[in-house]
This record gives sequence, C-alpha cells and structure tokens, in this order.
Amino acid sequence: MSISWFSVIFVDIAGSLLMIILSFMCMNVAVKLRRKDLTDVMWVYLLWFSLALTVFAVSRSAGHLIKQLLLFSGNREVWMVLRPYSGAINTIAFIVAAAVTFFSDQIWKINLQTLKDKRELQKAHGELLFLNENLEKRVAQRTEALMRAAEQKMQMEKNMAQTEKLAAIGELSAGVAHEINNPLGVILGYNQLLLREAEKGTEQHGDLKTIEKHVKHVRTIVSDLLNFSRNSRTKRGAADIHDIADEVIGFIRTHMGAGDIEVKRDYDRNLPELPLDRDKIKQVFVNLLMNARHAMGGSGTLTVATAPAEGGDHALIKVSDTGTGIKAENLTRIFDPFFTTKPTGEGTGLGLSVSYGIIRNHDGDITVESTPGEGTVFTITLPLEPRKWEEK
Amino acid sequence: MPARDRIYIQKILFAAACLLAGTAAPSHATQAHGGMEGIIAHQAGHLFFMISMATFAYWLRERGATEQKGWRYIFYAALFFALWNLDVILVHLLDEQLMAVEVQKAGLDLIQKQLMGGKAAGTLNYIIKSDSRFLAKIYFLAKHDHLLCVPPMIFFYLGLRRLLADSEAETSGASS
Repeated sequence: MSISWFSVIFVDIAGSLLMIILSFMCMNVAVKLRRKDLTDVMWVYLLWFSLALTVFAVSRSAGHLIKQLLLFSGNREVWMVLRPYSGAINTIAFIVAAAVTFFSDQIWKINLQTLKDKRELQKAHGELLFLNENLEKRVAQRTEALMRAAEQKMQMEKNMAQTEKLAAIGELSAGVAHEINNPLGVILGYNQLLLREAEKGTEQHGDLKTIEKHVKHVRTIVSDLLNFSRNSRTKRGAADIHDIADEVIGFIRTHMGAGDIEVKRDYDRNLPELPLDRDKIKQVFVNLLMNARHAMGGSGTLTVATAPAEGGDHALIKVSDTGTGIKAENLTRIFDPFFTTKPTGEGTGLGLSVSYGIIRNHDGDITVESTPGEGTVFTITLPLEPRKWEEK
Repeated sequence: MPARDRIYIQKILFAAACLLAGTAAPSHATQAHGGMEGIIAHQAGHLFFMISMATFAYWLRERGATEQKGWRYIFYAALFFALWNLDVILVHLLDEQLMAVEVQKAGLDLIQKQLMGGKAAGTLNYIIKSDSRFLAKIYFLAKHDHLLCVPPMIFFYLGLRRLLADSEAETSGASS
C-alpha cells in the first residue's frame, strides 16, 4: 500500500515539539505546587511524575525530531547509532513514571493522615492561642469571682454576728421585760385611779398625766422588747405583698396623719403571692413607713415599689423616702437593737432590729442605702417559693 | 601513581566507555543482551506504564478524587496515557515483533537529491508492505501516536494548574 507519509511526519514533529513544551510547563506548575505546601506528599508525587514525564518527553521527542532530521537529510546511519540511546532513556523514563504512580495510592493514604494530623495540630494551636490570649481575661474573671466570694463570706460572718447579738439581747430583754411589765400594769392602774379623783386643771392632775405618759412609753418599750425577744413560730401562708403594703399605708394615713407626704406605689402586679406571715410582714412595713415618715418630717415622697429580683426566684420590695437620710457611720448600726437617732422618748431603737429578725425568718434579706440629705432606700428580698418554712 | 596502575585504570575506563557505547566485546561471564531483548524490554515498559495509568485512573475514581476538577483532569490524562501505550504497543508489535508490516521508501525524491548535493535523501512517499491491507491501514493510523500522547499532557497541565489555583484559594481563604 503506497501512502503519503506527510501526516505521520507532521504529527510526529508537531507532537514532539508540543510534548517538550508541555512537559516543561507541567514541571513549572508542579514545582510551584510543591513549594506551596512542602508537607503535602501528593505534590511530591506529582512533581516526581512531572519530572519523569519531562525526561520521557524530552528524550522521546528530541529523539523523534533528530530522527526526522537525520532521515530527511539522508543520514540514516547516524540515526541508527543514536536510536538505542534515545529508546533506552525514554523506556527508563516512562518506567519510572509508572513505578512512581504505583506508589500514589500509598502516598494518598499517607497524605490523608498527614492532613488530618495537620488539621488537629492547627486546631490545638488555635486553642492554645485562644487560651493564651484569654488568660489575662480569665485571671481577671476568676479574681473577681474570688473577691465576690470573699465579700459574701464577710457578709455572712456579719450576719451571723448580728444574729448572735440579737439572740443574746433577746434572751436578756425577755427576762427584763417580763419582770417590768407586771409592776408597770400596777403603776398604770393606780395612776388611773388617782386621775379619776384628781380635779382637772389642777397641778396634781397634770403630774398624774405626766406619769401616765411616761409609763405608757415604758410600756411601749417593754412591748417592743417582748416582740423582739419572742421567738414565736412564723405562720406563713400565701399572701399578696401589695395588699399588706396598702393596708399599712392606709393605717399610717388614718392614725398618724401623712401631712404633705406624697405616697407613690410602683407595684409589679405580676408578682405571685408570697409565702408570708402576714402579721409579721405588716409589722415590718409599719416600722419602715414610720421611720420614713419621721425622716421626711412633714413633707416628701414615700415610694413603695415591688419587682421580681434578677434570677426570677425572689421578689424585691423597696421602701424609699426623700428624707434626711442616714449618716455613713450610722448605716452599719441601724439594725442593732436599741440603736436610734431619734430624740430620747421618741424611739426605742428596736423597730429595725425586729424587722431584720422577721425578714431573716422568712429566708429573706433586708439592706439599706442612704445618701444624707437625699433620702434612704430599704430593700427587702423575699423568696417566691417556700424553701425551709415547712421545716420550721 | 605507578605507570602500571595508571595503565590498568585507563583500561577499566576504556572498557566502561565501550560498555556504555554499546560496543562491548562478547563476554563469557555475563549474559549477553542482544537480539529481541531491547524491543521486549521496551514493550514491557509500555505495558507497565499502561497498567499503572489504568490503575491510577481507576483508583482516582474509586477514591472520589475526580469530584475535584484538578484531579478530574489528571484522571483524563491517565486514561489517554493508557490508550497511547496501547497504541504504541500495537505499532511496535506489528513492525518490530511480528514483522507484519514493513515500511519502505517509495523512491528517491529528485529535488531533494539535488538539494542535498546528490546524496540519497528522505522522501515523503512510503510503501507499507503487509499481507493484510486492513493491518496496513491500522498501522498507518496507529503511527499518529502523538494524537494520543499530546492530549494527556494538556490534561495533566490543566489539572496541575487547577490544583495550584485551589491550593492558593484555600491558603488565602484560611488567612483571611
């Protein structure tokens, strides 16, 4: 079969040139890929494969080009000498490419493991970096928490000391009050008999009235002492704190007179009923409202506010006034028994002590904030759910 | 160095050069590698390359690597390389092993002869001698083997470029 060999020679020459050019282009990209990530073994494989392909392409294509040139120029014998070398080199080159390829599966597996390890290492590195960067912040947080715990401990110790003090005073005053109460009753009884016989407007009547006034004051003190010392059982039942507050506000207005005092109510009506001893909480309100009224003199604003506490398991009751306020040095002593800033004969110094005891018995707390000249805020915290009251 | 030793070393170097040049003298102690051995080794190499490329293509597909465009190009390159090996194995088999075809120059090209100064030159007209016209045609087509080995080089290049671009995108994505 006679045939033109032109297409064979053309494809051979053009293909050989393209093979050489493309193999070097592949090598160039493979080197870049390898440099991009030296730890990726798949890029090592591709670099080796590209290298083997380049050796193969150059040896084979150069061989083919030289062959065509030599045959075309009639130097067949020269080609016959070169031919085995060209053939041997390109045979070795594609065997190397094939051999390298047979390891690619293992290389892929190794690479997957390497990449996995690398990712884990990067993750650990990131975590370490995060910890390192946040160490200072965490130390500050922990320090703050420790300081809070220390403050709480101090507060607890203070409360314990206060409770012990109250218990000791209560025990003492209970005995004293009991002994004084009976003679007082006798004195008051005889004084009233004498008052009936004494003519009004006389000096004797005035003296007897003075005796009566002071005996009644002593009786009030004794009564407060008994209230303070009486360790009566707290009888709690569900009660609306707003009803109790309204009742006491009404009582104060009716019996004591409110003057120009404006009473504001800022109630959160969503608060549920609380487990309270109604009478005792009423006594707390009486004490706080009376103190507020006294601090404001004839005019001012008295505010009673309720709200849920942060966390949602307690209720907050705030009684604030715009009165004279309490001096800083007195703030720490106002819950002490018999401490009063009122003039002699006007206060027993037991109201806030009694209130403190009642609130503590309700598993609650009472605190005070005051700015002299601006006013005072008493904050009562009471639990929404009974915790220990059934055990008491 | 004594002159005798120098001569001895020169002899060794000369023998090595002869061996490399393929003109070593017959040896009685080692196996000779003449005759068909060269073509058989070459054919075995092609077979090995073809199997490795086919295995590589199969394995890329099995591992799901072909889902990435870069590796998909390399998968095509491996398939073409396997086909190319099959093609050249056929060519070598027909003309060098089975001697089923023989290519002969059709005649001297007078113009070229004049250009080359009266020396016998190559010609573009050949005769493919074979008992089977079909085999002759197949042989002629198979001789265009670069049509099968250039495309895989292009695919391989495209695959590498794509992998490089992906790697760069990943790096810039991780750093941003």
